[in-house]
Amino acid sequence: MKIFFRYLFYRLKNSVLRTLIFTALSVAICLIGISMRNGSAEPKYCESGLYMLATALCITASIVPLFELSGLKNRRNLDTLFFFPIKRERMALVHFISGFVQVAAIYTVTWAASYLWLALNTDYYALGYMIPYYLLSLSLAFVIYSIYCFLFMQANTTADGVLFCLLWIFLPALVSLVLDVVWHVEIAGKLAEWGIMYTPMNHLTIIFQDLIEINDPASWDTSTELIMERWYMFVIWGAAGLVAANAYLFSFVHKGAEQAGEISNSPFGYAVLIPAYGYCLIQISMGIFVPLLIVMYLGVMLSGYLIYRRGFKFKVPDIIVTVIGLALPFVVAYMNR
Amino acid sequence: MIEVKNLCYDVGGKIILKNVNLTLQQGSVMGLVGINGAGKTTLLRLISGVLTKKYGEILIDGKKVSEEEVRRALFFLPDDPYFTIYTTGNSMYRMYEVFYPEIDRAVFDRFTKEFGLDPKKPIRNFSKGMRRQLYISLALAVKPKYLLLDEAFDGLDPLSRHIFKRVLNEFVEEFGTSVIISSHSLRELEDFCDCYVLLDQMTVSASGDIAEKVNSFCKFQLAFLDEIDERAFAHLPVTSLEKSGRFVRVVLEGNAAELLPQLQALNPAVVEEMRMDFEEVFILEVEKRGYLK
Repeated sequence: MKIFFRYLFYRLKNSVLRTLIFTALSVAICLIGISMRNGSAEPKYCESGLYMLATALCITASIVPLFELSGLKNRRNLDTLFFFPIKRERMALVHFISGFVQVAAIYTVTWAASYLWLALNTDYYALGYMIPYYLLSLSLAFVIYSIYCFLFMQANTTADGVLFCLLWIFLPALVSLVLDVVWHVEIAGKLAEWGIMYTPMNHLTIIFQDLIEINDPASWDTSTELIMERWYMFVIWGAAGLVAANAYLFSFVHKGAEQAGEISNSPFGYAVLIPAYGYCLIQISMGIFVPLLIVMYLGVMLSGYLIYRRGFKFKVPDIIVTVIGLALPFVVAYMNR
Repeated sequence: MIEVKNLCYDVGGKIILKNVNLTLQQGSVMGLVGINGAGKTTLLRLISGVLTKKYGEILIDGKKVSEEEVRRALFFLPDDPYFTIYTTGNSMYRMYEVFYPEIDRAVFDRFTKEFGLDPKKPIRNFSKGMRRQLYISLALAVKPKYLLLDEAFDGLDPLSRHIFKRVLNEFVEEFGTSVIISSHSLRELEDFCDCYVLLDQMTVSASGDIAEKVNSFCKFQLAFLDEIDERAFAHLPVTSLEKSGRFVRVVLEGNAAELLPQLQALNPAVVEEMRMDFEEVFILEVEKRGYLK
């Protein structure tokens, strides 16, 4: 355990400069945003600028995993790191904790600066609500952070990791759109609303913005209703965060050092993302001129597999998936005729 | 003692190592040799715990390599070790200090000085040989019980090689450190390795004492008054034969003292025994396996 804490302290010490830079940027963005919103507005129309805080937190929780884990995508680093006398599980935990401590540190300073600014420059907010907001938003940041850690671990290179993280943000909304428009599935609307990992943070911020800006009693009622309606969304995403954190640890421990730099073959990577995006794009663009649609679809699939396989090294499953993806929307269109 | 038993390893179905067995005794220095792609680096990465074995067993002092306590006794120096653009010798030292609290700063300073390195300078400005010298200094400062060196002499100039061999010998004597060292510089290995393992066809194809192996061959240079037919050597255990006019250079498998009378029976004007080295033995081995035509 001694090595665990020594390594954790070492990693935190080494990330001080990065944390300071991120903190300075985060504080600057939030304070500029908050001061602009509160400068000349009438109290009843003003906004506490909580959105700025939430946005900064979401960005931090999304970016820090990339910095914290990108060193593990290089074989040379792994040759050194993995022979050190520390169990793989503990090493995984050190990287995870170290990253989240950075997120928490950046956010805490940003939150404190925003709180101070509002306390010193305004007198119409119920700033007491800022404290539970801080704790709850940090918990939701943990969910975002865990999911990104898991997604990034699925990739074998930093570039693939960044792509996985970006593509997974929009996939649930895209799938729900297809389910809604093409398959007329009722749950689709909810999936679009819930399926994006930033949604709980968005809702939490809406609730607390209303609570903090108590000038308008109607807002109070709306926010209360919102809490009553959507409390389980937080539970579901909280559970998703815990699952993602555990899945990250599992991936870290079981991912072989020989995979670093190799093609990212994870089932949570290109293998799912390329066909899903290809199919969704062709399905939602069904109204356009068919040859153009086919060219567009093949372009997306070809680009996807070029990135995935790093060249024209397509495999039979890639071709089968492309053909099925092309045929399926036409079959659906024929059936819905 | 390091024991590797029936070790198999594959990547995506491609077999890299198959039924590898080897034992490294305490205080022994083992040279790991083989042609490029034979699996030397993979074997070292498996023993050090960087890679996870698929089948077989790797035991260090009877314990699994995955245990932290076991790995504390190990030091693996890969052929291309980690550093960032900001890394200096001192920052590397601090990183190793995290995992090896007993690392000896005096030893590190002594060797960086001996190699003429400035630990305050960024490693990115070092040549490959200088980087290797720095990592060797770190390895020696850790004073591990087991030292695994991949392509240890790569990039080292003759003076650094000399210093490295000297200090490694001192270390083995002083601390009883066991070393596995992979290198293509077989002449360097011969200087301080007491045993060797030859990896070929994904497995250990030959192993044993280096001196014994070298002594199992003998090389002679002969000069004849008239040109001689190669068939005259047919009755001898010839491993290699080079003929140039009236001069013949022949490598025989066996004891020189026993074979010399048989050569003298061919009536050469001059017969002279020449020194065989490990590199020549290695080349003969790979020739025998059909790699060199």
